[in-house]
Amino acid sequence: MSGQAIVVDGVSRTFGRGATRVIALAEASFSVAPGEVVALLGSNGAGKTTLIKVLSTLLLPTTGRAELCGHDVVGDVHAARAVTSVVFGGDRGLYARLSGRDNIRFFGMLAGVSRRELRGRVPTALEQVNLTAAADRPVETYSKGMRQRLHLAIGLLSRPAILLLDEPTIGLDPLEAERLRGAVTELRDHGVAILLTSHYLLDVERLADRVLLLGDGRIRRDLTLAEFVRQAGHAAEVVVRGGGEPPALDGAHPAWVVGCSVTKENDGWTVTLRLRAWSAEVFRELGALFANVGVHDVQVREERLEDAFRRLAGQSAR
Amino acid sequence: MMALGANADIVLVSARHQLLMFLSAWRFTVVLGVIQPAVFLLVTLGAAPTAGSAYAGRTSVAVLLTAFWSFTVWTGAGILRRERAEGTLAATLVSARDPRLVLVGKSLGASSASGVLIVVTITAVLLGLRQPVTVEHPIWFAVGLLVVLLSGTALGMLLSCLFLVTRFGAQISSALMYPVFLLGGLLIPLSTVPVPLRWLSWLVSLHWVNEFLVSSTSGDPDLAALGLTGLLTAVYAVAGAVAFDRVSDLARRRGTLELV
Amino acid sequence: MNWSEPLFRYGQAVRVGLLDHLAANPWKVSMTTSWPRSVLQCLFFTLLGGVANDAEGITFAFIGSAALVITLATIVGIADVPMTDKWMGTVHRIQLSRMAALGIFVARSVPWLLEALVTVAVSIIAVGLLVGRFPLALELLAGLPILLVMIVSSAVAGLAVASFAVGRNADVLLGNGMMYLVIAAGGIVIPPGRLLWLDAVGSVLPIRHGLLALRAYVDGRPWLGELAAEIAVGAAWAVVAWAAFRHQTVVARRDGVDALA
Repeated sequence: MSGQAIVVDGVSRTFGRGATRVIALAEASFSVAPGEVVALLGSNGAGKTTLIKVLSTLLLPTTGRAELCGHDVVGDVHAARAVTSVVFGGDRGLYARLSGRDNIRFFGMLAGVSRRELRGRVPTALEQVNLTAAADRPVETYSKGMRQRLHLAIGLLSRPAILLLDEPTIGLDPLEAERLRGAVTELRDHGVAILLTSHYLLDVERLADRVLLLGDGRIRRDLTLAEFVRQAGHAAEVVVRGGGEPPALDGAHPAWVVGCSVTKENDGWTVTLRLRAWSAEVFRELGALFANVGVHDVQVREERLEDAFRRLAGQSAR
Repeated sequence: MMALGANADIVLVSARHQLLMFLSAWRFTVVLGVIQPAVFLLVTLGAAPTAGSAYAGRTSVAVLLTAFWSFTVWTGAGILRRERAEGTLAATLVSARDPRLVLVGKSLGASSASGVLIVVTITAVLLGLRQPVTVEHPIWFAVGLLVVLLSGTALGMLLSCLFLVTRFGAQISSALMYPVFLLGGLLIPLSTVPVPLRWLSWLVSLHWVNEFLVSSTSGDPDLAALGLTGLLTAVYAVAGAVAFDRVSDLARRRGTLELV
Repeated sequence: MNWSEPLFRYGQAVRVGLLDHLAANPWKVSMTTSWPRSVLQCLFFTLLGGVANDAEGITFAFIGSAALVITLATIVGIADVPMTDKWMGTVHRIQLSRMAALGIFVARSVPWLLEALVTVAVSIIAVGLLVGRFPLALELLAGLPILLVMIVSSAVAGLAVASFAVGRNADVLLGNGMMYLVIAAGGIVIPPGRLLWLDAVGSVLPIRHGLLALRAYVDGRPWLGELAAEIAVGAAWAVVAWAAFRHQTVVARRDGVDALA
């Protein structure tokens, strides 16, 4: 796994003892390359934040090993911290009575950025997240989105090789969320390895190259985004309504049809097709299927990641 | 009659609620209700180890009222401020019940709980020191304690409203303690206060109730002092009602007081 | 060794401590609430000393009360420093920082030390005038180095107490508890020696030995011994503070239970 920015090998984390013992993470193993965005998905309590905390060195793993740019998170803590930034986000995590500029300067200093570097980087970081105009106002006057952007600016100040983002778009309106995703995309393009957790599958859809699905502390799936969607079952559902005789769909279906149902009504019929893929070729073949029947209405519903997640999460829980 | 019963209900439920809040903030309660009166009593009795039971009686009453004032300033006065911090003030101000009754109830709950705790602490310290104290007129003494309770309730209401409109309530609470300690003639005799400032003690109900309670421990109860305490308590209560209306005005009409 | 970076870091921490302190306690508010409170508290305990013991008691209690004023900032107020990180949710940044937690907290405590210095000076002058002991007030001000030692020793004790208090939301209880312990056992209003067990407790508290040094200084007696004892007590509390914060950082990483968060 050389050349990987993040290497996690059999990491487990438990809390408590005896009857109260909780296994928050169990034997997690994966890697993240530079310039790759990996999303951690899972329901609440699946272990996402615990994994982020272990990688950020806030928590020790109970067993296993994790390396950040080759530095062990247990044995080489300071070097690991020097190449990583963690952004927890949310309303807290900032000195609300102080200005955004004072916050970013102080936390940048804590993160090891030198005085000379801070002088140049603070204005740049504020500009990157579009907070220059508000930089000298107390953080308590900031909106949620502004605080989130300030968190990100602080995270970027040390120019990390690895960025850990815990629910970066939580509480943001769609415009703010999109702005934040834009910033993250830029970082990926600059070669930063990014591990993010999110409940918003739009984040995953827009940002992730890969998806790790966690369930009960275990990594259940490690998939590319496309595989994630495909594995969920189907890519699209097409509902065709028409009159007269329905098309003859009994018998063998094309390979791209996962499931098919035909319902006859008084004045017509409804055919529902679940398709493994949705592409121009599939569209042409679909047209051929219905070429000789009277079609009144066609509706196409692309499989949403929510459905994919729900299906995969449900499978993982069994 | 039914309205009276319903109003009494609101007050009692609110008082009970405040008592639960009091118990949940037990750390603060321990400082004001146990540590402070115990230390004050130890220091003042320790400064005059050979003084008799009359001195002990005067000192115990003074410590009771001193600690009770601290409690009023820190907890009673902070009722509405804490409600706003928790995000529950809006529910009180726009509820179907009269919010003034709710505040009266909460202030009463705070005063009652603090009063009981301080009395228990002082009793325990006196027992521990084997220091006898005599109360010649226990019934009048009890009446005096009840008036202390009511006075604390009224003061708590008034200060609670005033502290809501500033973000520096904690600093103001802190600064308000000692003026009354000094001007109330409690642990520090009024004779030590400069003559031009002594008239200020007339405005402090705790000064008059102190006179009454001390007179109930030995000699004849000073009923004039009790009357003045009652009068001042009524003034505080009216001022509290006015202050409360001001708070509601700021919140609902001008919109300058954020409730959530 | 390059000292400029560490100096810069601690300087930044001091700066942030000052800014935050001023935001929470603006000048106008401090001058109209905290400073008068300090003066009135000093006056109260001074007069209390005179209640049973007249003129001699007032003199004794005045010196003690002046020293007690220090604790408002250094024992009660200083808990706000680590508590601010708890309230603001910034503990994880302290845990991940290159600087040790105690170093950050000490640097951010500087405003409280300054507040202690200002309030004790103001209280000495004001109360000295009010109780007719102005020459004594001037002598106390001349004993500023002793007061400074007491400010530092009580501040580290205050941080040590805060380290135990933060995780239990007990800053008010433990901070005020320690202050009242100083009142009872520190020889503030009544001379030490009345209760042996209280004396024993007082001997390990800040302020007590410094106050004895200050009284000796004012009386023209040798005072260096008690001052050395005050420094030793302060150093012991500094070790306690360092160990407590370090332990909490280790436990937070090991057990996932962060007492500071």
